[in-house]
Amino acid sequence: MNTDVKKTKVGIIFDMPECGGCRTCEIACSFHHRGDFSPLNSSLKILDKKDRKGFNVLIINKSSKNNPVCDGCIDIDTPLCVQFCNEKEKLQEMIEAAKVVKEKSEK
Amino acid sequence: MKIYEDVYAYAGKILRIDLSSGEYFTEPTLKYVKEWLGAPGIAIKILYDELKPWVTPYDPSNKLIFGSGALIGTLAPGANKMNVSTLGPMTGGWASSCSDSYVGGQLKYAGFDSIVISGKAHKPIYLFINDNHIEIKDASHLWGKTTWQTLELIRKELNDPGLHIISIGPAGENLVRGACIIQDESRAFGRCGTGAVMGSKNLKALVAKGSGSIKVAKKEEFMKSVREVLKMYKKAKSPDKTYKYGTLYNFHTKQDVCGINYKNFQYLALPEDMVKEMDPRKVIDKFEVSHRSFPACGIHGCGRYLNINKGPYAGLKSECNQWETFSTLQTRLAIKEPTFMVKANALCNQLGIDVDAVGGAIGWAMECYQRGIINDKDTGGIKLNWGDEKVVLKLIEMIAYRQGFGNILSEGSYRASEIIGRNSSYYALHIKGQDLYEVCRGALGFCLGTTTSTRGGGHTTGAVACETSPGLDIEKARVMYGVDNPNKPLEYDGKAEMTFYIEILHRINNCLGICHINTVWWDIDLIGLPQIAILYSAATGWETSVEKLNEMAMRQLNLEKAFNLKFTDFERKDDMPTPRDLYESIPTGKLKGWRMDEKKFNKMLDEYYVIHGWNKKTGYPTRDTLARLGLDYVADDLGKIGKLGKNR
Ligand code: SF4
Ligand code: SF4
Repeated sequence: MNTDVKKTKVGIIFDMPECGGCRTCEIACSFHHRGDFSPLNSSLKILDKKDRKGFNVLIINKSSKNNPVCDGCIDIDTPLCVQFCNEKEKLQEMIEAAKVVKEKSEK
Repeated sequence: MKIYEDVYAYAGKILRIDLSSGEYFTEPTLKYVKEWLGAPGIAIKILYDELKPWVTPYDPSNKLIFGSGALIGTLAPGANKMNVSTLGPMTGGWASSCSDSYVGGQLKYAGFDSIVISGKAHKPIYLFINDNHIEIKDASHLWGKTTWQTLELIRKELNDPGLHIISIGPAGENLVRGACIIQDESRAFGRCGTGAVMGSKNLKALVAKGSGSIKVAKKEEFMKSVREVLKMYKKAKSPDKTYKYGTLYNFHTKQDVCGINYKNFQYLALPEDMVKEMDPRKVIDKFEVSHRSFPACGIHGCGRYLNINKGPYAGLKSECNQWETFSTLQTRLAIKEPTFMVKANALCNQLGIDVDAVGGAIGWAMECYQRGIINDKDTGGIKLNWGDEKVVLKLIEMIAYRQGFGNILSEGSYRASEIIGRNSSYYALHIKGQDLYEVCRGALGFCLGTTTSTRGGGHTTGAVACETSPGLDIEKARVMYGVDNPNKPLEYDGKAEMTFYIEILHRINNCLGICHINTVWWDIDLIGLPQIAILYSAATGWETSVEKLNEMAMRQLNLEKAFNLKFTDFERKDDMPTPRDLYESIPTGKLKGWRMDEKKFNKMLDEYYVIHGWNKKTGYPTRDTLARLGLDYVADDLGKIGKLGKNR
């Protein structure tokens, strides 16, 4: 499991050295929530890391104006973001981990 | 009356903005797209119809049109290439370039498919499109800044570190003929000099930010098709290589097929001892920090961010260049230091100047210096020796700022050779005034698509790429192109047909915003017109066949051609290769001794014109051809200026 995890007001930031920064996941996620393409309305945000390998992935777990909470795509076998990611397993791990953190904080 | 009908895939509106008055209005995209498909298709229709024949590139009444293709913003593979088109200063005719872009998506999420910019601002400005909110903002403090500084300052000023912009650098401001437009830091709308047109309008940058969405008509079908075609990227061989090294992975193939520009096209392969030393892939292996990619790319990105921490350019952090910069600057100018390509590429991007325009001009100058045609007096004392990287970097700056000898070079090799005279024009390798990067000898399909290109040279509007691809699935290529020798780069037969096919594919890609490297142009196992037709049909809800796409592409090509006839003197001779490519044999490498056959080339060009329904002798479109495409009014126009092709 990814150890470099940081909590923020809206969600959890994971370090993803394997991420290529295509942001296709953002587009896919918006489709999951709304049925159209609107990356601003996504439950994950790809953040620049400047001079270090890969990108950070913010997974939203508290709802705010444009940010729908990640529901883990429980209605389908493979989360939509993961389906379109090049590093499927890594992203899947993060979605799972975010779910665990969210469940814990809700208890 | 409802002007804006519901529309899918497209954002729905075109923004028209006049910088002289600051006024703007919108019109529905639907007005155009049933005939003109998207981005450059819409642009050529507007430019042809609306520019009077006396308009010149830097005239305020010239229009600069940014377009975001129909599939941009969706999950369609590779749909992230934005387009800019205008009447351009390099050829004096049709100018059109595409670039990987985030701005393209943002523009559509903000509600616009294209922005048509006319007039000239009274002082430097930039455009900020934030959903429906259009703002013309002062850019006096940004004038003179590099594109990298501009990005940083605008992100700070608008308080959004994730903002994407496109901007010009000092080269565009100084109307350097080969100035280009840069997206963020490192992707260019190359060739054609569109950055100079932007500079002539006092427009420093365009910023787009959108919170809206792009809808597709048949959701399930669209997503199913995307998933289906994405499997092709897993099976094909090129994506892994492109993912790792971008287009630089082709290094050894290019050396094998004599596809490398060495010393201004005097040689088409590197000397053997340089091959190991100059392998550009090693630079990536050594300095890669991270990947770089653009939304929905089926390859998941061809870019890499490098931190050069050793050697003469230690401290440089930049995205790595692709093959074009390597061939057009590093090998063309015989520079050995492997990291030079990254440095030169970064510098060109910062200054907002096209790598081929500087490579062409400096290559010409160095060869003229080698031959004693120009000397230290012409250059202001600068010695133009092959391989002198310091001199090259200095010249790039002098070009961007139009200083000293750089002022002459800033016009591109063709015009520089006209200024210098002394029979130096033979060494200016250009098509229709635009500097060549393309190696035309030894690959006739690539050559034909390049020389006939309506934008003047360039390999992204018809040049064939598969003929020299190792491991090509020949059967598949035969079926696709309808010729039996798609893998024979030295045979003249069938190249007209192949070029015709790629002209269509490239136009459809550009109109929809799909990256060519994601398609059969680059790798026969990736998506092609049949898959693209399915994606477009599902996205728009308009059942669109490949035949229908073909027709739209040909309509567009014919109008580009007519646009050039309206604004330039181009004729058959301008569709011919450079004299060097036509008459010199290949001096070294595996194709040593091979030379183009002028007669056969002319026959191939005849075939090319005939396939298009253009007059064989002049290359002018005929009335029948234009009428078939619904362009009767264009036939009338060409008739009036004596440029309508006779039927025989
Ligand atoms: S789709 Fe995957 S590789 Fe691309 S940005 Fe998202 S997490 Fe990174
Ligand atoms: S798993 Fe979460 S982040 Fe991924 S698509 Fe579903 S809702 Fe979005």
